[in-house]
Amino acid sequence: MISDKISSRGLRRRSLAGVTAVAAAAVVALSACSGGGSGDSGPVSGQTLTYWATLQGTGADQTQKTLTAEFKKFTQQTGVKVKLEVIPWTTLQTRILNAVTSNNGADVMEIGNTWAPSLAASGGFLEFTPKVLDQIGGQSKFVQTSFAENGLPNKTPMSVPVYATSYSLAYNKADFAAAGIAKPPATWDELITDGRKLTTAGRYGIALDGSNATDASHWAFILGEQSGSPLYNSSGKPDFANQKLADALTTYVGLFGRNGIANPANAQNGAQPLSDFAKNKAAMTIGQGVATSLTQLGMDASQFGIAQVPVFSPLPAGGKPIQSHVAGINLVVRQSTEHQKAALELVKFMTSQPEQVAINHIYGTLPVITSAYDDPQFQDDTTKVYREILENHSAPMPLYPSESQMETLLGGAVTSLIAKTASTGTAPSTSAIVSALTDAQKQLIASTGGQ
Amino acid sequence: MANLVTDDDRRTRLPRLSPARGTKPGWWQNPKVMPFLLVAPAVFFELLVHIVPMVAGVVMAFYHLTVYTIRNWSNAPFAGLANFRVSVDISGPVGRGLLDSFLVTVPYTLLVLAFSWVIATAAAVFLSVEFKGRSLLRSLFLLPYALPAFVGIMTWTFMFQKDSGAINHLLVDDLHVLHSGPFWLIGSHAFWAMVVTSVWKTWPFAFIMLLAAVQGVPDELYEAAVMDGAGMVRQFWSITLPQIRQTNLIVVLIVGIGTFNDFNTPFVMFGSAPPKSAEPISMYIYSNAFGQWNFGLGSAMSVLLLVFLAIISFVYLRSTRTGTEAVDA
Repeated sequence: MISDKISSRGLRRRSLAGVTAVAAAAVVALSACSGGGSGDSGPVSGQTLTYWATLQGTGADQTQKTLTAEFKKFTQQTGVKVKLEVIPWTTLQTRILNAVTSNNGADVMEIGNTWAPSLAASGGFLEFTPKVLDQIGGQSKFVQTSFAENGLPNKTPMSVPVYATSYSLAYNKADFAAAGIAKPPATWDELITDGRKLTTAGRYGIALDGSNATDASHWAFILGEQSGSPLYNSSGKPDFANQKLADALTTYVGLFGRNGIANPANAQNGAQPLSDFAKNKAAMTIGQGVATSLTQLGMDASQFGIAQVPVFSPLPAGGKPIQSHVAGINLVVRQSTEHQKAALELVKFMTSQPEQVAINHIYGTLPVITSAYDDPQFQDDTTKVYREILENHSAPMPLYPSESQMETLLGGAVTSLIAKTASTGTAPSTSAIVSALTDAQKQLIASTGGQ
Repeated sequence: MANLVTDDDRRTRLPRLSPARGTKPGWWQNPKVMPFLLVAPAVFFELLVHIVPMVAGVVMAFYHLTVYTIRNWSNAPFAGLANFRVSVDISGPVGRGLLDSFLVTVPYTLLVLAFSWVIATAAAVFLSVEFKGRSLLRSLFLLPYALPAFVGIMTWTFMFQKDSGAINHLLVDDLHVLHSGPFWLIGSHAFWAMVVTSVWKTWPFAFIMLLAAVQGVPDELYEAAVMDGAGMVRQFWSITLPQIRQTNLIVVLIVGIGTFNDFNTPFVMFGSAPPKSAEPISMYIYSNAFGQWNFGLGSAMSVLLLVFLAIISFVYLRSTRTGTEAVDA
């Protein structure tokens, strides 16, 4: 899936040995340091690039097949060969960090776009200055919300978007009709009211993955934006240990409680909300790019509707109707690549109109350039809802270097609150939530130096 | 067969194998040098694979090696003991977390060690006697060891699911021990789920080691004991246990250290955000180093762990060695 689920499913043998792995890479790199090639001006034909792809669509096979076919076109057009490697989410972040440390690795890499600020802080990637952007077709071709998540705030971008997605709500049309509900819920109160009506023996109102820390951090971000309590203050310091966010989180965490509308079992590792929804064990679900996954799970597109994510009504003071973070995948070019010109050709190719249409259609993701949306394949209702959310109701996750650490710590705090709610039946008090948030924030500041 | 050594061979090969009489042997043939030359490649790779990364890890612990400095790691600012101070400052959030995870790791290690050892010893004694189907049972017992850890742990994770898991089905629907199925993967029960899974994957290793030892005990000892009227229990305590003592000591040490450092079990069962009750020290270090990209801090914690384990191992080996060993050493 497109979401940056680095936390989920996978085996890494990392303990003592893991911590030293980076050091080992660093030591090996002593001899492997390359000079960095900013000024290659000759013809690119005949060069070979290495490309690291994230897992997309139905998995490694589809990713491999799709990109191999597309890169063949690129080789025909430019004479540049591309060596493709599909990297599982569980190891991607470490691989990228190793590439940064050793000045070695792929020339062009796909990254979860929320990592952009943290990776930008490492300084290992080519900056997309206006001149560089011109080489790939200019900034104006991009959907601007997608382009916004590109590195550190007020700094030169170090990545450009390639696939986009957003959170959305999927609902079972037959269940809604049977319960006499005319339209999908637009507010959290409506969601809970509808959810209660839809909950019957063997079926819950909504299915959510309450065990995934990354997802939980997205929820904290979305609810924080809606309630007027952004996770970082204007000077870039973490600022999520407050009453306002705790109040907002109570709504979400409470969904897993005795009076909630989600299956408390969804709080365990291994929760499969989409599969629950597809098997009609739940009448609604909220997730990233859900429509494609649901059809892959065997549902017919006519069985479910895609709607916007609920918001608080009325919005608390300072709240914005944000329904999703700007989710997606970005491309980075390694700073020290010897094939910068060819690498930028490839970035240009991947963000060109025909490729954006072809690849995003197969993956079930959204194009990141505006012109691709003119294609008839992106005119259906589902895409329109996605696009509306992406363009008008999304904001980038905080663009600060400690963002990825925040995802781990704040996300972990929220999942343990959900676990507590699920196992005891009632959501922790607001003060208990504030105290859990305070712990997470203290740890974030202690381990990152508050940057 | 015809003469295998031809004249050609004599001329070209033999002189190289043994230098002509009268010439001085090369310095490398000196018995004081040769053994070292022979082990040199192994030493080189041992250094490369184990010692260099370990030393690098220790060095990293003294630097502020974070996402900001990792690219230009050779210029990372020197931190002195700052990383260690943060790690052991139990009034701060990081040190507090490290202590909490330590307090999870110790009972986890002791329980897994105890259960694994008891099961493994029982199975080894049981399977040391000839009977029909013994080799089948032996293979069956080794299965968890042969299975990729990931697969086994994943399966246990499914079995521990609240609604759909086999454990709750057994406890609630079949045995009626419990009225309603509890959560095993969140909250305090997660600790026990982790212990059960870990024992399952750990004991076969102890079993193989102990089986070999038990089978090595001379039959005459048992025969003599039977003559003296010793029962099964007495035979076990007075013959089997003392005879397999050396193996036992090693098994306890290896399994103990392995469990103390166990990362696979909690990581596969709970993902990167485990419940507090099931976050052993390896997971905590991992999340500091890789979740929060603070490799200096993670290394400092690893060094502390290394020192702790080294002390424990030293004390353990010291206090368990027998008279003859003491003379040997």
